[in-house]
Amino acid sequence: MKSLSFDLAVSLIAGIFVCLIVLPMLALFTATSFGELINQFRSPLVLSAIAISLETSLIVVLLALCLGIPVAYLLAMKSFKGKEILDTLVDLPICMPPLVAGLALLILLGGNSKFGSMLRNCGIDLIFSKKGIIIAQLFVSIPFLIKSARNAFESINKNVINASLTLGASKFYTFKTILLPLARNGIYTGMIMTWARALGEFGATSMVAGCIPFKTETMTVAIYQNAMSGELAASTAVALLLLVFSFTLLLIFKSRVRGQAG
Amino acid sequence: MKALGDLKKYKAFLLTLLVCLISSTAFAKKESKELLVFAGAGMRLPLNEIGKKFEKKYGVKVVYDYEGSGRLGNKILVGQSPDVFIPGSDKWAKILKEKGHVKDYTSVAYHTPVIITPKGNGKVNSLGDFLDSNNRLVLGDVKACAIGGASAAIFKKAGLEESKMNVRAKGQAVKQLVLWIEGNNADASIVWKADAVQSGKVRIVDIPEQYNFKSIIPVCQMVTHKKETNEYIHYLLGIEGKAIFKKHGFEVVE
Amino acid sequence: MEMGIVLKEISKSYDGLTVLKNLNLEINQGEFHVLLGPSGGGKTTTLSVMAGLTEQDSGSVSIGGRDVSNLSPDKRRIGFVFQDHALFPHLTVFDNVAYGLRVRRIKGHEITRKVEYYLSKVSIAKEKSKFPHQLSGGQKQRAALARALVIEPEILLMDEPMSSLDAMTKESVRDELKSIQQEIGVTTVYVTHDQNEAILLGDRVSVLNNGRVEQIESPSELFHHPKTEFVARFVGIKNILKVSPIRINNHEATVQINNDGLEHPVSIRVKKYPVFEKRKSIDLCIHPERIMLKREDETYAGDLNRIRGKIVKRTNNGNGFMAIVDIGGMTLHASISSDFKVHENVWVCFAPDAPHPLCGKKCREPEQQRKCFVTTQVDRLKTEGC
Repeated sequence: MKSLSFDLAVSLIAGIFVCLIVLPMLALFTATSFGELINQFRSPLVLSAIAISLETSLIVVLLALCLGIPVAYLLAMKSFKGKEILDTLVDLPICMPPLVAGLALLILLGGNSKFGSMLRNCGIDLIFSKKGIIIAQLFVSIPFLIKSARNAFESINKNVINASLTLGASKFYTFKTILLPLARNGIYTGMIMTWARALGEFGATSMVAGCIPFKTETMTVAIYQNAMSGELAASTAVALLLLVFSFTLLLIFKSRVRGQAG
Repeated sequence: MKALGDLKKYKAFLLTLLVCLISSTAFAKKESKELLVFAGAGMRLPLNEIGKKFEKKYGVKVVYDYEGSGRLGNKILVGQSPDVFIPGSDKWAKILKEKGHVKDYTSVAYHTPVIITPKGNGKVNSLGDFLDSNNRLVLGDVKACAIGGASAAIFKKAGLEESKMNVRAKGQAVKQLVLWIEGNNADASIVWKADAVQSGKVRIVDIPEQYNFKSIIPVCQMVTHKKETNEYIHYLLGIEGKAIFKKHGFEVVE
Repeated sequence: MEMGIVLKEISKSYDGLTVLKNLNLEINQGEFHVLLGPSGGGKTTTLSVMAGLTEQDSGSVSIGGRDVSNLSPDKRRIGFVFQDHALFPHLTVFDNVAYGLRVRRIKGHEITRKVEYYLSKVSIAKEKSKFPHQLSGGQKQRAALARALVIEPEILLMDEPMSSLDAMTKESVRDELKSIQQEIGVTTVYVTHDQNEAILLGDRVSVLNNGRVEQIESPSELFHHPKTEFVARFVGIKNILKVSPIRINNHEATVQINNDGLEHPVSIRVKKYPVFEKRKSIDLCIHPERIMLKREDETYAGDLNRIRGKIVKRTNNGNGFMAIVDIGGMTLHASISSDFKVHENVWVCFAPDAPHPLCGKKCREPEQQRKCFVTTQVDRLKTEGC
């Protein structure tokens, strides 16, 4: 009897959770109409915003992999002075309000900074460009990849790594042949979370991106603008479109991953 | 096992108590003497001062919510109920009156648009310079903030086509435009004079009267409001209130 | 003879805890060497230092005459079999075993030839396409062994590889291991805490305790002549008396037993050994078979030592019965017949020549062929052809 009531209680709480997530989603539906959805879907501005959002967020995932996996490896495998600090730095972007992050990036890369001028002299203009969007999105979303990949590396049996070394493999060979494949699932999860975070990013992006339609306006900015100008129906329609696109891509990715895991 | 049963009873009791406490405090606030005012971010300095003076005189505390006019208007549309609404232009005042949230509105001052450039940057000196593609511009987004609509109106009056301008970014709020110019991220922008004066870190270029588009700052009395609201609005529109606005760089309605 | 492995003055501490202190060990080429000891005694750390998986704080390691002290594991030409086999879970058995060869960029057909050879050597050729999670415990260890052997290492290191196997699997894997090692002749270091494995596998056995080598001998020597109390207890010797000589005659000495916990000191007569003249405090051991228990009213030979005691436990160890007798704060193990019961009061009797010192030296007189419990066990295991 006792175990039954425990299961029941847990299920009830899970039910509350489901409501917490699903009800706001349903509320969005009520604020718009199917006609509006089609309308927005046909709008070239919206389509361009979707394209820009997808393009930048996918590039962010690639950059996060290149930059984040080595950091995850370091944190998982080695102990060194300052490891605590590095670990905290990884958490920092998550704790920072996105607007603050945007402000920081603006100051660092903007017109008044030496660093920014240096980059501009090399021909790299990050403010008010797609590159700016990518930087802002990368800043706020890379911690998810690092944390997930780190957990994946840490959960690998240390003896398996040692076995590879004793068989004559270098650290790089071991990383490539043993660590990466065994950490695959954790890395994929990290990629998904990073992508989701990048896609939904608004605060930091609005500071450095520019929000020019067809050039640097992302989905999130488009939603915000419509909402701010009182066009609730339009903004919810755009929001729903974003959700549909994200869900579809997510499902495709997850099914491919499941297929490979074997 | 019996002890466990007792614990369960206690938990339920505590939970109910907690809920009652929270709801009572939530509702209690409505009863105490406090006014809620939604106002555009650009008016923060004068309104804060007015709020303090009003509280001293009438013993009623004024709580402000400063944000972009568009955001505030939306909040009212989805159900929030301030006592007074002071947007940066009459666009939202009109929308809300139409939808029945605003009872009436009176202008207290003007927002005057000006051109601003980074200090020491002399590339832009007139509206005409906006058409030079070498000049990087940042302008307010029409949908998101009042200054956006004002800039568009100015360009229309002056016969300038925005599509020919090198606009690098659209600001979601006027403060963002000021921030960008302060940080030397663009050569020029158009913002409210009050914001430019408050910043102190930008160079101001006046816009000729014939092209300029002054935006009235309406003080909107909401349909549902506390009785102290009348005194507040009276104070705002009175000599003292208008003097404070003038002090902070606004042109007042005489 | 070229030294297989030489460890000189190896020290290693973790977080302030000293695990190895000035450890010296020399292992001969082609030898099957067992590191025996309790958990935490330093055996796995020693193995790890040999492999290069752990860096020693000080001291040197050489393999095959070559100083490898600063080399990483991949450069030491070792093979390692881990306690949890550590097979690569995402690779088949074949790919696991082929791993070391692929690292060395051996050609495809050569890889196939070698892998299949070693797979059949450890008798798991049929499982080559399976993944580790599809294998049994014994099969996994065989695969791990093949993986380590296929690269033809200079030394083979094994860290308690059988600890997770059941008794039957242990036997078969153990036997095969010994014969494979003898056939291939690779210098092998095998870590275990199981004395049986040490007896049956080792050419020589080192007993490690608290990071030091207490004794290093062939298995039978270790068990017949333990040098220290620790080794003695570890190899199963139960009765250790800590004595100090009181009187020494020509042939006999009277000594006092002062083990910790003993309520009243007990004096006994023992045969005189040279060591009594040299030391004030000596460890003596008595094999349980040399202790006789007599009932209170029974008669006994006059020259026997006699101590009062009470039986506190009786166990059956497959060879007969063993009684554990409390002689006043200390227990002795005696080999008995079935008549005696728990709580009986008895006399513990043994001849003066029954106790002998733990000095590790062979006794001079050839007549001193002690029929001891441990010897019989060793002989039994060896003759049963395990």
